[in-house]
Amino acid sequence: MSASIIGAGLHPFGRTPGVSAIEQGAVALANALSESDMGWSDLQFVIGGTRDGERIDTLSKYFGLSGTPMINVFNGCATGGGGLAMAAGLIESGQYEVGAVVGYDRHKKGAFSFDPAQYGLPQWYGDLGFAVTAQFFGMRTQRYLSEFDIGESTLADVAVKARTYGSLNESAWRRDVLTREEVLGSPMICDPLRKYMFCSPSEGAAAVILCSSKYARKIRRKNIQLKSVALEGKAYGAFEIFQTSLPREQEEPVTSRASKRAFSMSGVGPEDIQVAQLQDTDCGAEIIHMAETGLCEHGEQKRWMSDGGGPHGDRRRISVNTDGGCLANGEPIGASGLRQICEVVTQLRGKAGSRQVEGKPKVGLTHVYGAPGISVVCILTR
Amino acid sequence: MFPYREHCEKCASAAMSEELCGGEGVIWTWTRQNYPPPSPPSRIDILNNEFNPYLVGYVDLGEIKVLGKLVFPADVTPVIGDTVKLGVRNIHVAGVLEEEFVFYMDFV
Repeated sequence: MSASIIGAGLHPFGRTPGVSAIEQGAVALANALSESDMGWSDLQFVIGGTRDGERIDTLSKYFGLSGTPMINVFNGCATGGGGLAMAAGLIESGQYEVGAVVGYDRHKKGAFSFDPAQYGLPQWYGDLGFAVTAQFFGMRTQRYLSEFDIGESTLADVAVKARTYGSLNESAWRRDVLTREEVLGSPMICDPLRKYMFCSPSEGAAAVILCSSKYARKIRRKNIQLKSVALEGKAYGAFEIFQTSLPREQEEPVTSRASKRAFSMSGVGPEDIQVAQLQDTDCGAEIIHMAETGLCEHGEQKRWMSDGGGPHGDRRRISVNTDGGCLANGEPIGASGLRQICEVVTQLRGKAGSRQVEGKPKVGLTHVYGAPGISVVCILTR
Repeated sequence: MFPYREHCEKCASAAMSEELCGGEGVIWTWTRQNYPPPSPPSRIDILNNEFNPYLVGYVDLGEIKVLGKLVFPADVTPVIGDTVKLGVRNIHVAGVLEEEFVFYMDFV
């Protein structure tokens, strides 16, 4: 793959009363453009993703009707990854040289609600109280902890780490730290996951400017290379969200497949990753995704989280969700995948301030997981 | 797969047939819904303003794992591998008393 990221920008995550989702998206895009020293008129296309926000087309209110094509892409919590994959494809095809991907959202307080019929689920699934994404996260974590002998203290370690990183990130929503006791004393939501082990719906926006490597050289911009963006979907037999039954035969989870493909496309291996942003809808999700992306073995998370060390012995340290992840930023569905890209770009550029990963990282990974079982893994290098 | 569908989930073939599976299985995984589920889509009636947390899980019936509610005594926490038996119970849904299938804890 020969696409480059030349700009990344955010609108702060959390709650911003009176500012619409698309307005937050416009701020993120303006920041990304300014970082790359480019203007709106340089963009040849824009891809936008949101669940509860306005269509990306309404961005014209802030930048003008320039004839720029705007494309709406939505894939649940994997929206940012899906949009980036489409953008990379448009650039790889040679049809466009440079474009932007914008993710933005603004959710009401409280648990996400959705229409089961939109996902092909039977009426009773909604009627009788199964249409709760937190139930899946609870059940997946319950199974995983039991299978690999991991306790709830490891879940608490993840929550504490997330809030510590959040306290160092001025764009994060949750800036106060939590103790293990506070996490383990918070109310049970969906066993074994407690209140502080879940992210909450929030608001925010993120944008990246993507171009061909040739274009980046032409305009002489420092760039981060997008080595791979691998998108995979639900396979029969894999334990994913929104399933009323599972067959006897078991297929590997979608995240493992996306990750393997991302590594094979990029030519780097899990041992090369120095900073990673993984979908952390809940603390169980983060530890499961650590292993599914190949960053450690199943069960190894216990030691990794408790000693803060690397998964491959003492040879190195790797940092996961260095901007606080969804746990500290909340989950604006359209924005989170691109927030991860922005964080890896910032880390690879060495500009992450007090949360900067040591050792001048050169290779980073991002991962999103969305309903009904779609996963996108990206590998970036400088 | 469960429930019955006109097309195979794996290959989309329409050559489908119904099969009976036994009414006994083991818990493959579970969780407890500790707060009222978002409504809509939930239509469970919350009677007397008192929400009762409920257990859900996948029960391994051999050929298939089925998602359903689990019914255990209030002071018993389910454990993966526990044996459960299929049954039916009443539930208030949108003002109507309906039946739902559940898996009961198997008392030894």
